[in-house]
Amino acid sequence: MNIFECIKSSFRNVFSNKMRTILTMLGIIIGISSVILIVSIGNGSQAAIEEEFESFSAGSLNISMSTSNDIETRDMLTMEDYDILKNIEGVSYVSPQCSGSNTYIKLLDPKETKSASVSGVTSDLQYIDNVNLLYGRYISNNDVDMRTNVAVITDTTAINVFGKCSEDVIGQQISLKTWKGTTKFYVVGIIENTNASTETEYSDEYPESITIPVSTAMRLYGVDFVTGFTVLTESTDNSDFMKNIIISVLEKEHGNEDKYYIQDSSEMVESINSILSYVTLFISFVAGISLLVGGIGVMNIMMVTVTERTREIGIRKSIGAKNKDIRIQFISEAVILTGTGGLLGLFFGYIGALIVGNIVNIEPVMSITSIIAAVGISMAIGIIFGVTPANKAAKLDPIEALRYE
Amino acid sequence: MEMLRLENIYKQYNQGELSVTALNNINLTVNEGEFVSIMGSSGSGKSTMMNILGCLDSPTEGLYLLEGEDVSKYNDSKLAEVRNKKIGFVFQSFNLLPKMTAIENVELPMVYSNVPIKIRHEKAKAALEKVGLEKRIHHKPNELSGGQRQRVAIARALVNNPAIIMADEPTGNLDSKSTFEIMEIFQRLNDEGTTIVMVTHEPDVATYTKRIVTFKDGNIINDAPVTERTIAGEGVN
Ligand SMILES: Nc1ncnc2c1ncn2[C@@H]1O[C@H](COP(=O)(O)OP(=O)(O)O)[C@@H](O)[C@H]1O
Ligand SMILES: [Mg+2]
Repeated sequence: MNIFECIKSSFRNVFSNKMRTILTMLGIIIGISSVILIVSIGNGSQAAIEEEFESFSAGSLNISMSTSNDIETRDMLTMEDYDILKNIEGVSYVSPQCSGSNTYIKLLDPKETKSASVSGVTSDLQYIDNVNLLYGRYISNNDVDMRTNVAVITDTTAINVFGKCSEDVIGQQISLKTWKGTTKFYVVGIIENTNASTETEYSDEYPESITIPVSTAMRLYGVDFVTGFTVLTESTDNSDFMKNIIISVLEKEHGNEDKYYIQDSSEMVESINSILSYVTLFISFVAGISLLVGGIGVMNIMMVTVTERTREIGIRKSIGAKNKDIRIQFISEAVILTGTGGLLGLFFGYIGALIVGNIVNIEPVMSITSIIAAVGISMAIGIIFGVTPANKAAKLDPIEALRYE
Repeated sequence: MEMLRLENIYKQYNQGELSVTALNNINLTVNEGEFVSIMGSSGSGKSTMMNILGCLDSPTEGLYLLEGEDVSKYNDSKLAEVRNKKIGFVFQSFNLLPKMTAIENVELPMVYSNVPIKIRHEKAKAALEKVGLEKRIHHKPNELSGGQRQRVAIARALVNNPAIIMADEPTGNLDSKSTFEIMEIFQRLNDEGTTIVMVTHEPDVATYTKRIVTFKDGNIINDAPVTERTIAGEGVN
């Protein structure tokens, strides 16, 4: 019996009992569609995260206080540390980070305010963060020296506060409200919001991000220390070496140990990706179990089918079917069953990914690899779980099979 | 010319400690062009005999030559090939596949011998014409009468040009009119040169054949030609 003939007749047998076939395929459909959903959402968010981190230059280091140890006043990072870091060999740019909490910005509608995330920085940050300046200028050294009340805002903030993003916004004022009261800042520049890819214009989840001179920020929040530093090194090859130097310089300056912590931006991408791949792995494991259960379901139904069709097997054997022909027939029926389940799973998984992606705002990414893997795995399940019933059918004694009622 | 020969054939069934001898030292020769009926009471070993002749089963002991080929020691796969090429079965209960049409049922043996689809259609159609069912080729078994179903089964048995047709009580489930039709077809096929071995327990059905072999308790107790043969062709009204 040639293989084309066999596939044709298997399709016919499999779909002659539609209800049973669909119920049997359900386990495979659920398994494959959840794998597809999770993998394509996972790939989509990975792509989104990578895009987000593209705005950071490779090799930028984030220096902060470590959270585990008890911190004393002498451990706090200050502007003196900034001057020291600036002069370390191999450091291209340094910007302090000074951010405060509970700050609100007045929106276009004078009655409305929204929380703002204010960062005090120096002009170097524009090189470290690769900012894309749309209008005006960035924070300058002069701003830092003079503690001017100037601010760089993002395009989305410009729209939220002024209702537009254009040259006209430069020179206008924004009002920031802290526990000390309201302070007005002149807008000197508008930069592109790099979060825009994951955030809709209407989204209220994200605070408006405002960049001001570090000295101004320290005065605004009444502090004489900074939250941390962002450093860009000349070369990315020796980042571990640079991290050690920076830590030891800071520890020597403050006379302490284990109080500072440096995070690598590339390391951050990696760690997020690894968390993501663990989540994907775990859910794929769960989906794998559902495929296993689905496969056992297929085996069970194939066993029932073989019993029900004992007489048919006897007839086929009596007119010349070999054991091999019967075995191939039942395996191919199982493969068609699970393969069709896999294709349906692919379809429903992709639909599901589009729906979920729409809700969580991630564009699902479906790779050729995952399509091939889904169909391949489901067909492999058909072979694995179809072999036992097929062997049972092949081994039936023709005389007894013919006598079966 | 000799079609088949059985020499000292034994068939034993072991059921636990009990051993049943279904065939006890059978010797039989059937020549080409013969039309043999096998008779005997229930349990005398007729079906066991047919299963061995039809290569569905192997004897416990003895020699079976089919067209000079010793098939008694063949394995499953070889036996399947012999069944496909040399033997056409007709059963009491028709044994058609219920989901397939008449022509698909008739094509099935050729599917297993890899006959190309076009030739398969033509041959199946010709076989169905031979049994007078050219107008029913696309009917499913449940749309056909018992006699028509058996004729589809005969067409299926014929289609691979077998050396011999084995029929185990082919008229056992049929009324007298259908029985007559089937015997007419068998006689016609036999006249054209097909060798037929048929089991029956009805003496008047046996008179359509040319030779009667009688079994009792696994032995052949009588083997004689039919003296007053009924010819179906003449009786058609
Ligand atoms: N599969 C089997 N297992 C055990 N005994 C069997 C089997 N098939 C047939 N027999 C026995 O062999 C003898 C002959 O049976 P069978 O050939 O079917 O007789 P018939 O067809 O003439 O009625 C009977 O005694 C029957 O019980
Ligand atoms: Mg019998």
